[in-house]
Amino acid sequence: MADSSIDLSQALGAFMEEARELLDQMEAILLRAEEAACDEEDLNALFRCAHTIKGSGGLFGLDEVVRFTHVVENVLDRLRKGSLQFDSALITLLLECQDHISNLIVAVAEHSEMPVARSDALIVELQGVLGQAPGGPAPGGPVATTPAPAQETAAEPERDEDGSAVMAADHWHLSLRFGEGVLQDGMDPLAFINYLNQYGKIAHIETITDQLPDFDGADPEICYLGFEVSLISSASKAEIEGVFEFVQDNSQILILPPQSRIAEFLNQIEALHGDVSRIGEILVACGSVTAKELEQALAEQRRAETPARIGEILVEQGAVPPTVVEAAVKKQIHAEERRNVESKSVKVPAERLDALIDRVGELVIAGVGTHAQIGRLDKPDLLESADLLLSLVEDIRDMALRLRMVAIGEVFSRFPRVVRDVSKELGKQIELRIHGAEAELDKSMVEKIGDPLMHLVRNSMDHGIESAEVRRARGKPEVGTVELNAYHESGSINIEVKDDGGGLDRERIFKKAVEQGLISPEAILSDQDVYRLILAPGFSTAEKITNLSGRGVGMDVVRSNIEALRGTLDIESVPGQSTTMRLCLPLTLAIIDGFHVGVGSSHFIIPLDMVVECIELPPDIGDSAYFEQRGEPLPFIRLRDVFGEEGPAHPRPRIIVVRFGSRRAGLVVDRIYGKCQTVIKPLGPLFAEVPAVSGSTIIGNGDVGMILDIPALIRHCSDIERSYLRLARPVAA
Amino acid sequence: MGLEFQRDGTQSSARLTGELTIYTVGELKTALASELVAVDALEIDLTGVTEMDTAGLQLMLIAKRYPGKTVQFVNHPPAVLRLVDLANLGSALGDPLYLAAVES
Repeated sequence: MADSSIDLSQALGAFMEEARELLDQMEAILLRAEEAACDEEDLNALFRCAHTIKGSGGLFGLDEVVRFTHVVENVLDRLRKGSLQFDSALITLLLECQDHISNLIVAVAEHSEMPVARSDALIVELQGVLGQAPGGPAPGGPVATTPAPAQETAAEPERDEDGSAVMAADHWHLSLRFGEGVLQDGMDPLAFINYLNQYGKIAHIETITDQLPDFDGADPEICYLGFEVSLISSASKAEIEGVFEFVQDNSQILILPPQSRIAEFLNQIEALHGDVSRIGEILVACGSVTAKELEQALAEQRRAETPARIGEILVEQGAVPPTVVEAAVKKQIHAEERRNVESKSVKVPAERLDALIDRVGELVIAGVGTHAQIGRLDKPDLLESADLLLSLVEDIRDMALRLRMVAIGEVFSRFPRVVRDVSKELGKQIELRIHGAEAELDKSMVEKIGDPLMHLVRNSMDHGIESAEVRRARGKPEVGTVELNAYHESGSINIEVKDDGGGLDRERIFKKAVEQGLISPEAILSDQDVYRLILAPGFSTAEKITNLSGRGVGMDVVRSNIEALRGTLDIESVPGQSTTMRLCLPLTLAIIDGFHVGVGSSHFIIPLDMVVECIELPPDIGDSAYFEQRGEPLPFIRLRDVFGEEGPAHPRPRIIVVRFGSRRAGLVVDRIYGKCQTVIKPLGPLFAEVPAVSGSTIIGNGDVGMILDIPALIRHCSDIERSYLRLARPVAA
Repeated sequence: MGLEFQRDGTQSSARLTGELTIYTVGELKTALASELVAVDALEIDLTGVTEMDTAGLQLMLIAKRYPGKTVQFVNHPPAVLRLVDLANLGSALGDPLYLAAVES
């Protein structure tokens, strides 16, 4: 039984994943529906999403998911049939429902308590849409000529008001396909079925014999038979399931409760993998068409020159509604498609990939070390093969890292919804434009930039975009625009959140910062520096506090999140026109190309992407903190001073010019070793207080090198500088 | 379990006794196969069957599918009828069933 529980949890995992995909799809369609009328295909897709979630949820006994989704499905069904029309309020409600289903599934995953109260509240709203009194009996309900089992009413309080859609009103339907080995395992399927009589009355059994081979090919000890059973019973689903407890492995046991609607058994068809080619048989077994109708259809098929599909013939003859066959046929196509997709990609657990990358990291370190030792041997042949080996190892490193790359669109995809909801809430009209959704970055980054981006987007919408009146007065289009752009640039990815709003008000930020004691009133700051003040903890200029932003919480969190990813946040603003927040992030967190330098007896690694050039420090520089290079001032810092290094100095120190975002700075070092592969090892908490170091690494000769966090280093130094400026030379330029 | 054939030209009749279950179906199928090769029609008397399960029922279906030959089952005892009835295969098997036997 242990095995089966593993199977189940795997299957459940697959269900969650599928459900998430379906919910995303629902969201996308709903958002589209808001802009333009939905076509039939969208409406059908929408219905199928809810329907499949409900169906699969039922298979796993997720009653709350089924109960709630069922009502949503009813609404979608009405939309699909045209008896209900989309309006803005309905879309909002359905989006809320979609969120709620998503929450329910999360609750299942986390084994936390189901938010039942929320379900109830939404169901009441949905029923309002359906025109039903909540919990009341359905008008003209077709069900229950015989008294329906009372406890089922509790599980499904709402009734389908559409009489024709309800089938087989008062019995359970069991679809049983036993595993081949069930007989050899000493179990007797018919004995189980017979046992069902303990729970009620078997109304009808259809034995499915089409898997039965002919005489010669048949192994009489293998079970080829399937059974479709109608059971009149007041037992619970768990009780009926219990009957088949011991045969669940390798068997397909499907139990549909009474009052299942046609939709329900469509699901059943979908669930019956392998049997899809026998649509007709399944339809008959479910009571959807009679055997006679099927026979006629089959006869027709035999008569036809080119064999038409049974489904089409049945529809033509009016024997089954098109939707029924559509689902069955879809399944056939879907099975085919899925097979194709499966052959194109392989799913690998993330931790296995991480383990691989970790090992590749070690391989790179070992490779570099070996290469360095061989280099000292003065054996050109050996060195040549070591070169080749190293370049192969580097290729493997790149490929391994690429395995983890995912398109940033994964993060962007949630924003259309956010923009929609927030603009509604704010009463602004805002349009979202997305560019560069295909740009790739490391999976672990994708997971971590979602929240910071969310803050930035909300901030832009709330503070950036002006109200419609102001926009009109300023001669701008009434509809504001928020843009999300992503693009690669020199080993990093830039993500921009741009709005065409009022821009940042330099004066107001400055004033506020002074009020809050962040800067002195005399401080001389560049525009950039002023804008960066909005990232300070507790800073907010918003005059109106909304529940989105304006509480001064957020932007500093954004900054620290981004810094934790070794990224930077630049702010550009054109007053009255636009604000651009530019996130610059490294592509990966695991391995970088580093530039190896030495100061005293210590080793430091500078991310190679940031290195612009190496020059010699002019000997006559003295104590100055900048020098002029090609007509531009270049500020520099001495790593020796920053890290209190006291080892032997070099008579002619060098300057490494680094660039990040739009800034340049110089780092004074003693020695330059050159480019090296750097596998980043996180620093322990012991080093948390060390400024400007983002990690450590093992360099070729086995020594430990510190990886410099350039943006933090510059900031650290300019903070010191600024306080110095403020205190000592407040008026100096 | 016992299965005795009595051949009469291209026809054969057999008496099956004992269990018709997962424990005997393998053996029975082999026996049926060698007999059906030689004859055109086979009538199997089930009177002596004391017990039957899904495998036994399935063997009946398989035997019925022997290409080009007629296989008929007669004198279903209660143990067999109960199962044929449960699986709703009476008409699929196409053998005459005696309701009286069900009641006994």
